[in-house]
Amino acid sequence: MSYLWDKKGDGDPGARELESLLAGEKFSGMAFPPVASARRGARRALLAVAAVLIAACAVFVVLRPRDVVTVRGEGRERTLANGEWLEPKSNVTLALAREIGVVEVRGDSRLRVQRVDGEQQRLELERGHLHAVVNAPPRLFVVDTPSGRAVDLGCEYTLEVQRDGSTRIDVLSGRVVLEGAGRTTTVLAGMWAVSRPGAAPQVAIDTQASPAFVSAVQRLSSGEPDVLGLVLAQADKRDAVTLWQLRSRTENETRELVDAKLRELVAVPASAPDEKVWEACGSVRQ
Amino acid sequence: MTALASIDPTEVEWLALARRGDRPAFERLFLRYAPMVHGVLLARVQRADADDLMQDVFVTALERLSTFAGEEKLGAWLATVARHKVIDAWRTRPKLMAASEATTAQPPRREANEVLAVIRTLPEAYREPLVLRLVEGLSGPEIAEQVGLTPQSVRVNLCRGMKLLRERLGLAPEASDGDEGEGA
Repeated sequence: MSYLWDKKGDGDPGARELESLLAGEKFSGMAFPPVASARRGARRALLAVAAVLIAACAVFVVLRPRDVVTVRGEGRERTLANGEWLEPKSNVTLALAREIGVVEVRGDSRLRVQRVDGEQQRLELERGHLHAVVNAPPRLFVVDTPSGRAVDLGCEYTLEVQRDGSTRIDVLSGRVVLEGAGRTTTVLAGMWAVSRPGAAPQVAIDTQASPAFVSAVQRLSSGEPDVLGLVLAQADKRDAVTLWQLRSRTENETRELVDAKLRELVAVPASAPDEKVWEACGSVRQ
Repeated sequence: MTALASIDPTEVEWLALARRGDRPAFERLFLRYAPMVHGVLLARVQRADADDLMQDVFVTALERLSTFAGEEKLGAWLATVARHKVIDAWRTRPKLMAASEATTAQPPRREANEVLAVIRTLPEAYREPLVLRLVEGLSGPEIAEQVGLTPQSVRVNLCRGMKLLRERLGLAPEASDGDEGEGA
């Protein structure tokens, strides 16, 4: 039963044989977003028309101007080719392709364009500071740093990368997801978070959080033991999102302690589902 | 102290975003649960129909996401939507039902569709865990977590279902068949 249950251990050749036989039947993906069956018939008819249009579009795609990032500053304007490093001596402004936004880059930063097309505009900030104002669908604008990736969900934020690769993000409006080491941290407007190379991004902290709370969270994030009590004692309503994220990174009794404090702060009963807690986290911050 | 729900907190965040119409957030949820939903469908209908119904399940999920109260796990809710879609399809598309029934008396040839046909003849409680485990590649604990059942229940159904499947396929019984009584 062990292999059938948890896919571990030897034995049960019958189960393995059936697995191998049935492997070709597993889910292999489908178009997204999904389309209702009633509309799929009409869609098939449209596909024929689309085939003709695609041929016409192909001509346009070949002839149209390419997506480019434009650099303005230091007395001139130029385009930045994919892979080309930008190391301005003074502040410059990048105009993103398709007019989705602008990025102000401080002098002495080092940055390059990794990808620019209709699906994604991705920069890499190796060091320095940028201020991005983006008005685009979520996940279209992405910035890689030595500590991970900042994925824009429609917002304005600043990103600072130190020479050791550590990164701090401050979100001014909207929200950004920081990704790194297999974990994500959602940073809401009015919050900041840091990440370091090779490590998961730390929990987000409200810009109005008390210095004592910030200090306690940072000590906890750096692995210092026996600090959780101090974090919970210093937590205020504005820190609910931080506790929410902290809760997901703890287990067993520690997790229960964080959960109890979190529900107390947002005034959500113990019997309420997690979703209510998350909604309340947003409400108390507003 | 409340018993904490085991729902992934990040999933709750994506769910909140999806309810506000964030398509990428819904896509993230879709990617997480699509194999499970596919398995639930495949336990009842043939592959081509399962692929077709996948679209309908997620269209319905997208439309009704605002009514999902969060009192049960999202996976359990999606599995219920999938089961209802099959019932609806059987009502409106008799061919689907006929295709499913036509395979119930097939001899135990070792072809994938034949094995699936035999699985579909098993008691309903055994079909889903077997398809999710043997076809979609989910482990027992993952099945329990995604479908919203207890691990012990999934373990028992997997074990009994596998034992019955072996019999109907003419496979030799596994030495450990019948140990579902052990702790999950």
